[in-house]
Amino acid sequence: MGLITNFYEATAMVLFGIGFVTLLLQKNLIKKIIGLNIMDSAIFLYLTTTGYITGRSAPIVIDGVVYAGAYVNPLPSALVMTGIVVAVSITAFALALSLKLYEHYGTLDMDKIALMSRGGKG
Amino acid sequence: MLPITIMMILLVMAGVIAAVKDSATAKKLAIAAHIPAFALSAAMLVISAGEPIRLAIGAEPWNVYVFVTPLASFMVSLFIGVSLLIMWASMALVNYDVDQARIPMYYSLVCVLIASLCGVVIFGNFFNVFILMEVSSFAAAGIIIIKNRPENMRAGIKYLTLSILGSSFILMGIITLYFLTGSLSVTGIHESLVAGYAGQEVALVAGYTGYEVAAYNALIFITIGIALKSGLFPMHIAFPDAYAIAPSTSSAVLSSLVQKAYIFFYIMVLHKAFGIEVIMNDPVMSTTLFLVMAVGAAAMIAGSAMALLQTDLKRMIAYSSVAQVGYFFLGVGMGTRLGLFAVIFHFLTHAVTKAMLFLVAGSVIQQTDNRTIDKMGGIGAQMRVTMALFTVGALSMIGIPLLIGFNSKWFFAMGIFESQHLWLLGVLALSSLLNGCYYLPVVVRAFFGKEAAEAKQLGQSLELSVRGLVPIICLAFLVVAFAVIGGPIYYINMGIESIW
Repeated sequence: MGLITNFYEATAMVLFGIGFVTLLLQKNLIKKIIGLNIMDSAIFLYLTTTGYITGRSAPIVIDGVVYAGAYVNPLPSALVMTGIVVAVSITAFALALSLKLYEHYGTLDMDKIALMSRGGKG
Repeated sequence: MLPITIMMILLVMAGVIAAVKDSATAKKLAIAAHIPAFALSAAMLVISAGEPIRLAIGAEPWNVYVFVTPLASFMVSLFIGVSLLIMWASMALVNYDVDQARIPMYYSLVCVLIASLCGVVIFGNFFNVFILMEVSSFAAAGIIIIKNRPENMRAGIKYLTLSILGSSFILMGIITLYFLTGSLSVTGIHESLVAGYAGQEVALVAGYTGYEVAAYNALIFITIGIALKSGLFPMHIAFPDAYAIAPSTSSAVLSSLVQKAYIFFYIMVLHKAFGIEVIMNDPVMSTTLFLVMAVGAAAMIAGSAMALLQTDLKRMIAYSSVAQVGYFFLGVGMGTRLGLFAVIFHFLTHAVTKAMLFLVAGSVIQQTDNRTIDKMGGIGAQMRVTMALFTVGALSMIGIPLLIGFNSKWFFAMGIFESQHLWLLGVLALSSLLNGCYYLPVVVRAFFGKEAAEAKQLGQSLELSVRGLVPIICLAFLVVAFAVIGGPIYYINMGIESIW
C-alpha cells in the first residue's frame, strides 16, 4: 500500500481529478473536450498499469507456450483498446457538435452561447 | 439465441432504414422492425419465467455473456412495446420536428437506441454492458440533435458530456470490480465477493481482507456514474433542456425509456453482483445506499418544485421526469424487497404515462404552434380528445385511484412502511401534491374559463389525425388497464423472487 508503491495508480487518480475539474469548470468547449480526454486517459493508465506485472511478457506465443505464469493477463489491454475506440468516437462527435455551435454563434464559450440563445428566444 | 436475435433484428433494420431514401418507407420499416422484436420479447417473457436464460460465447471473463432473468425480459418487452407505440404515433408527429431528408436517419437511430437499451438489460458481462451504454448515449444524443437547430446542438452536447462523464465513472467502477474479483460477469463477481464474505456477517473477510476499500470505491463510482447518466437531481442539468428541445417523439423515448436501462443495471449491480444482504450489513455500503435514498427524496421535491416554475409545457413535463427519477432512486435506496418491487412497477408506470404526456404535448405544439402554457386557454374545446388524454396522464401522475400512477404510489408507500423511514411518507405526499399543482392548471385552463367558452364558439377542431391519436389512446388504455389487472404485479413479483 502507500502512494510510493502505487504511484501509477495515484497519478491516474490525480489525472482523473484534473480532467473532471477541467470538464466541469472550463467554459470553453474545446477545453471541456480536452478535460474529457484527460479523464479517459487516466482510466486507461489505471487499467494498463494495474494489468501489467513486471517481468512478464505479452501473451504472444512465438516458440510455443512457456508456461502461463510467464505472461500477463491480456484482458486489461483489450479493454483499453476498446475504451480508446469509444473515446475517439466521443471526441469526434463532441468536436463536430462544437463546430456546428461555432458556426452559428461565433464563439465556443458555453456561457455566452447560453446567454445568446436566451436573448434570441426573447 | 433469442435475446441476441431481438437485438439483431433491431440493429439490422436500423442499417436497412439508414440506407432508405424515402421517409414514408423509413417509417413503415421502423414499425416493421419493432413488431417481430416485440413478438420475440413476449416469447422471451414466457421462456425466461421458468429459468433465467444464460448464454456464454467464449470463456470467462473475455466473453459475450447473456443473462436474462424474468425482470430483464420484462424490461425488454417494456422498451420494445412502448417504443412501438411511440413510433406509431410518430408517423403523424415527426414531420413537424425533423427535416424530410433526415427522417430515415432518425428512425435508424431510434432502432439502434432501443437495441442498445435491450443490450444493457440482457447482458451479464459488465464490459458488454458498458459498450452498449456508450452506444445508447450516442444514439440518444443523435435523436436530440436531429432537429439541426443551434439549441439542439447545445442540448445535445450537454447531454453527451454528462452521459460520457457518467460512463467514465461506471467504467472505473467496473474495472475496480474486475481487479478485485478477476471476473467481469455479474454471476462471477458475485461468487468471488461472496466467497470473500463467507461465514461473516459484517466485514469483508477471507480473500478480501484489506480490500474493502476497493469494493467501496467500486460501488461509489458506479453509483455516481448511474446518477449522472440517469439525471438524478443535482446532476440533472442537461436533461430538462434535452427533453424540452428534442423532437417530441424523441423526448418520449428519452424520458420514458433511456434512464430505466441504467437504473436497471444499477439494480443488477446491487442485487446480483454485490448481493443486497452484504450491502445492508456493511456500514459504508449501507450508508451509500441510504444517501441514494435521501438524494432520491430530495429529487422528488426539487424536480416538482422546479416544474412548478416552468411556462413551457414540454419543459414542465421534463422537470416532472427529474422528479420521477427521484422515485426510482428512493425505491432502489431502500434496499428492501418491496422497495425494489415499487421501482420495477414504477418503470412500467412512468414509461406508459410519460410517453403519453410527451406525445400529447407534441401534438398540442404541432397543431397550435404554441408551447407556452399561458397561451393554452380554451385548447380543450378545439382538441377535446387530446386534452382528455392529457387529463388521464396528469391524473395518473398525481396518483388518482384506478389509474396506474396510484398503484405505484401505493407500492412506494408500502415499501416506506416496511423500511421504517416514515418521514418519506411526507415526501411522497408532498410530491403528489406538487404534481397536482403543476399538472392541474393546464387541464383547468384548457377546459374551463373564458377562453374555453370563446373557443367553443369558434368550433374549429385542431385534433391530430386519427393515425396519430390511436397509439396515444392505446397508451391511455394501458394506463387504466395495468391499474386493474394483476398480470404485471404477478410477473414482477416472480422476477424479484428470482434475483433476491
